[in-house]
This record gives sequence, structure tokens and C-alpha cells, in this order.
Amino acid sequence: MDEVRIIEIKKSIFENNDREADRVRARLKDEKTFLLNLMSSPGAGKTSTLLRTIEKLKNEMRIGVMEADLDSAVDAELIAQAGVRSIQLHTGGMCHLDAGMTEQGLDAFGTQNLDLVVLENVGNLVCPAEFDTGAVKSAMILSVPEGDDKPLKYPLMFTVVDVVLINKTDVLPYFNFSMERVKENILRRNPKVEIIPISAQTGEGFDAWTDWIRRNIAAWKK
Amino acid sequence: MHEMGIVLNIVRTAEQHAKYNQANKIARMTLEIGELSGVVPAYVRDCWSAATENTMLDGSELVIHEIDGILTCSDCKREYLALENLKPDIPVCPYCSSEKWTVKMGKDVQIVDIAVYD
Repeated sequence: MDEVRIIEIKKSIFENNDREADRVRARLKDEKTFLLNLMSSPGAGKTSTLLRTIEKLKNEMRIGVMEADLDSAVDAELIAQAGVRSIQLHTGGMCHLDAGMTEQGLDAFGTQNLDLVVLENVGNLVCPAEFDTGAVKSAMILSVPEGDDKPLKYPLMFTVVDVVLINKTDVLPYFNFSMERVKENILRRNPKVEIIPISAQTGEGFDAWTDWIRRNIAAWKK
Repeated sequence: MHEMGIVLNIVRTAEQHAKYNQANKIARMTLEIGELSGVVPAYVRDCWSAATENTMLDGSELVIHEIDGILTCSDCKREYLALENLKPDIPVCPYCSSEKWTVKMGKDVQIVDIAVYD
């Protein structure tokens, strides 16, 4: 029998990802590209929110979309029809993206000439919250039918995001959903977060949302 | 599955270290998994043989040390076990009832060491 040697590694797998994420951000800073990580549950309205956002911003900035949805190329096709560049990332059935995958996506995409790249993360409120993707800012969409107590059930997600969009305000009359209660629940977890109620259906709140994007891109390019 | 991607990452890192140390086969890996890492030890064990197939870790033994999740209260500065003080799913300081805390320990997953053959 050969001799066994012990090799000490003492290496954190998250630290590894965090380092890669910082590298991705440094590169985006050089390229003056703003990467937004967009997260939500399935069905909260990521794609429809994105389509309306693109519609409002595509004449003033160069936009790209990286899609990481598990199932198919349907979303990427819809986005491409909206007239911006898009790419489908293949997570191979995984429930989250990590910084290494983001980097591969950016390489394949060629992001030097884009002002805004939206990373549409996998529809899930647990795993994507645990991995820094290398994005400059993170946003999540919570839709009215999901309930105003969702921030209590998925606390980590609400602590890692910079802005929460409360989508589907058009159906508020049909649900026992209190805007005040949801804001209180979110701010308890994350006092610094911005909260913007929107409706991807009617366009309500999109002025405030696109202003948030413009403001953050301007700050990043400085 | 959340754990599979993480385990594949661990396998890649271990192989790099083994190659760097001119070893051919990894017989055992020791991992530390924090209670607050979101990584479930049982699932890591479940996918170990599939994730290590045809790698230097094929057939290897997996040893997991679980690390307690410990929080430091932001108000009274004392430390407490996170999972024993959930009310109902948010940790609350058992000494001063504050809901503000920082994680002291148990958020990480770490490769401690590998046992290799030349």
C-alpha cells in the first residue's frame, strides 16, 4: 500500500466565490457596465417587469440581458424580441448562479459596450441569496399574491438585496395584502433597502423604478 | 439541487491541491459545514459518490464536521446559538430579546484537508 499524506487545505468555498465576485465587479467597473442581479420566486413577474423596463430605457442606454432560468429558451426569445441583446446561461439544472458562471456569461456576451446588464437569476428565494454573483446591485421582485409575510419566511433574501419591487399592485384589491405591513416586514430585516411598488401590467411605479436604475448606473460610472 | 454544484466546486478545488502536491489519488476528504451555511450535510453525503465519479476522489471517504451557528447580539454583545433561539424563524437574543445580530460562526463551508496517495 502506498503511503498516505495529509494535505491541509483550510479553504472556504464561499470565500472562493466572494473573491471571484469581487474580480467580476472590478472588471465591470473598468468596462463601466452596471450589472443588476434580479431575483424572485417563479411567477413573480421577472420577465414581464424586465420587458417593460427595457421598453422605457432602451432608447437612452445600451442594455443586455443574461437569462439563467432553468427550463428553456422561451424567456431569452421574448427578451430578444424586445430589441436588446440577450444570452441564455446554462446552469445545468442548478438552483443558483455563482460568480464563476456570471463571469463565463460576461465573457460570452462581451459586455464592454453595454451600460446595463440584467442578470435574470434562477426563480428561487433561497439559494440565489447565498451566492454573490458579482453583480453591482441586487433587486428582488415580490408579487402581491405571494403575501405580505414573505419577508419573514425568506429573511436572507431580503437582507442581501438593495431594492425590493412589489409587483402586481393592480391586483391589490383582491388580496389580503397590506403594503404597510410588507414594508414593515422588509425594513425589519433590512433597514437600508429601497421599496418600490410597481405593476408590470399597468406600468405603475415604473418611473420610480427606472429612476433608481439611472441613479445607480450614474453612481457606478463615476 | 443546491448541494451538487457546491460539491462539484469542492471536488475541483481538492483536485487542484492534489495535483499541485503531485498526488494521484485522494482517499479521504474532511469538510467543515456550518449550520448557517445553507448546505445540508446529508445532501452532500447523498451526492458525494455521483460527484466524485471518475475524479481523483472516486471511492473516497467523506468526513464531515458540523459547526454550530453562533450569533453575536448587536445590542448586549453576548453570543448565543442561532438555531436554538428561533422565534419562530428569526433568531432572537435569549438575554435581551434583541433581533439584531451578526454571525460569529457557522456560515461557512470549508475544506479542512485531504488524504492523498502518491
